[in-house]
Amino acid sequence: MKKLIAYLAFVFMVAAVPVTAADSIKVFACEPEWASLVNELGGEYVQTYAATNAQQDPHHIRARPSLLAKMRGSELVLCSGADLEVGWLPLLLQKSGGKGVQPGAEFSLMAADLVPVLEKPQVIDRSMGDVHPDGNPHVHLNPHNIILVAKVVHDRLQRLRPEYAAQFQQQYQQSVTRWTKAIADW
Amino acid sequence: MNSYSIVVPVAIATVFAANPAISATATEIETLKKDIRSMQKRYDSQVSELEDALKGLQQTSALSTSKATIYDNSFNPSIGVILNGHFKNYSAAENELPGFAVGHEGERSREGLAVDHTELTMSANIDDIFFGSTTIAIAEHEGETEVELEEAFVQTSAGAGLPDGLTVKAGRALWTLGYLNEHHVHTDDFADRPLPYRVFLDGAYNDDGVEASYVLPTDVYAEVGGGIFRGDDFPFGEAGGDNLATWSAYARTGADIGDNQSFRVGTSLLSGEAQGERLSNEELVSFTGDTDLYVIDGRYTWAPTGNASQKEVIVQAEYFWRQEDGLYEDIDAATGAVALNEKSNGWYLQSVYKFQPQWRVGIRYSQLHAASTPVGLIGSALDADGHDPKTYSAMLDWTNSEFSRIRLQLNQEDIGPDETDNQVIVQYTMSLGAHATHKY
Repeated sequence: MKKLIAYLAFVFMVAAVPVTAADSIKVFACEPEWASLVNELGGEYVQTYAATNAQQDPHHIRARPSLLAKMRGSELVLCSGADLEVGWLPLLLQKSGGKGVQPGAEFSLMAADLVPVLEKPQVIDRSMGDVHPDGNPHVHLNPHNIILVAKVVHDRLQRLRPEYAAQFQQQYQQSVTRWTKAIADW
Repeated sequence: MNSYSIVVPVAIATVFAANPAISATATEIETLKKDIRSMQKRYDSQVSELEDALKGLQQTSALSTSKATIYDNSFNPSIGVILNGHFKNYSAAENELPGFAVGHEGERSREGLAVDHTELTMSANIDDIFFGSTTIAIAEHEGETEVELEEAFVQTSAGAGLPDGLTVKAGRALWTLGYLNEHHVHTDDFADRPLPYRVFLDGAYNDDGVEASYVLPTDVYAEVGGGIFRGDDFPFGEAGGDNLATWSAYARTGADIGDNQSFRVGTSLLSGEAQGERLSNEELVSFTGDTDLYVIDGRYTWAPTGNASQKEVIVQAEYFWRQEDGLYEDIDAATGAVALNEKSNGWYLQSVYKFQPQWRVGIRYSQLHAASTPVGLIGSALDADGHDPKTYSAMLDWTNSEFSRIRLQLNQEDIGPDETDNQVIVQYTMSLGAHATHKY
């Protein structure tokens, strides 16, 4: 009987944990920078996958089988955009992406669309090398941009799980305060 | 403007200088005020004129900027052109692969300087639920320029409301089968297709049909699918269109091993019937009957530094097993229709090593095992005479950008008893237009 009670207590405790794995938001981030941003804003309520690691050149990776599996079921996609992931992201989205994360959809976030982009060329030719018609995709290099992107990510997290809006709000505010301070120090 | 900014204070100074007495009369002050006002008016009108002129200039420059930025064709299909060409030198006059019926795409290509398939691809989202793509190839065959419809398909996209991961594709396409089949030839790591592709699929299987694929909702990649086809393309032929006896099924899985390694393995089946005559060997050999083809494919990639764009090793292999049951006839050898129910198989193994970001070397071995020859076909093109063709290949390629590549390849083909074909190939493959997707 004691064992049963202990067991039930255990089950109850597990059930009482605010978020179960199944309930967390599945996020597909193209680069590790975006994955850590989402983790910071979503905390325990997100389950983030980074498609590339810091050593890799995100423009030149291939749409590997593992990426197809990770895209499947993702509720939010956060990438740099501006054609940086053009060689593989469209294929993943086409084969296993849900409706909400398709290009232009509510939960498909391309950072380059959310911030002022540098070096957007007016005349383009391939002889200039692999330039991106939508501008320089390396938007995460500017700390002010991070706050702009964070604002939108925060909004989408709240829309995906309105029940945790308060928690998201708190995490967002803490993060912004910290970055603002960091930028001021910097 | 500058002249006015000097004139005004000077004028005021002059007015005061002309009237040194502080006790100026009211009329004098009134005249002064008038003078200043008239000057102010002129000044204002000049400024507004200048402002107007400036506005005009700004508008013109805005117009010219918008002209310069009209490059956006996002509502048009993305268009890509593949330009291919080669120089090939062969030591053997003929390369027939005895024991196998070889179609026109499976033959050795033209010797000397030549342009290969020039491919024009157009693709776009048709609307919110369909995506479409077509690839038209222009090729030279026996002195004639031929236009081939390589692909022309429509495909469901995520908006179609199908369950997540399910895609349906219809039309003509390079169908899912093994590894290489769904890839366009210009993305291959070698200048020519390995032997099993040449004899079992005539280069590639791109029949007309419908295919469904489903990516399973598992954490590890797993995909299953299958299709129904017309049965017109090699290894089938002359479909009557009145039965749907040609079909395929496949399953594949894959994963990453740590940060730097990845693999994919799969198995496929293609089964169908040549209802009418399937012609091969320059239309001198015909086959009517059933073909079952089983394929196992595997591919492994390893980026020693973690970044595949710098350094990468790729190992890839496919094994084919075929059963044919029908009637063969070699018109040239006047065999008449001979019944055959035989198995044959073939495989290749290749490895490519990117040792510099722009340089790769590769080796490949491919081999076929011919079916045993029925008495009626002895001495015909289908008589392997106990010989199994094999090819050793080595290649070196240089990739200037994602859009251009130049390759040198050496082949030694063991094509018959005591017969070797040594081949030297120099090839370029370049693309213009839409950014090609790197397939997995």
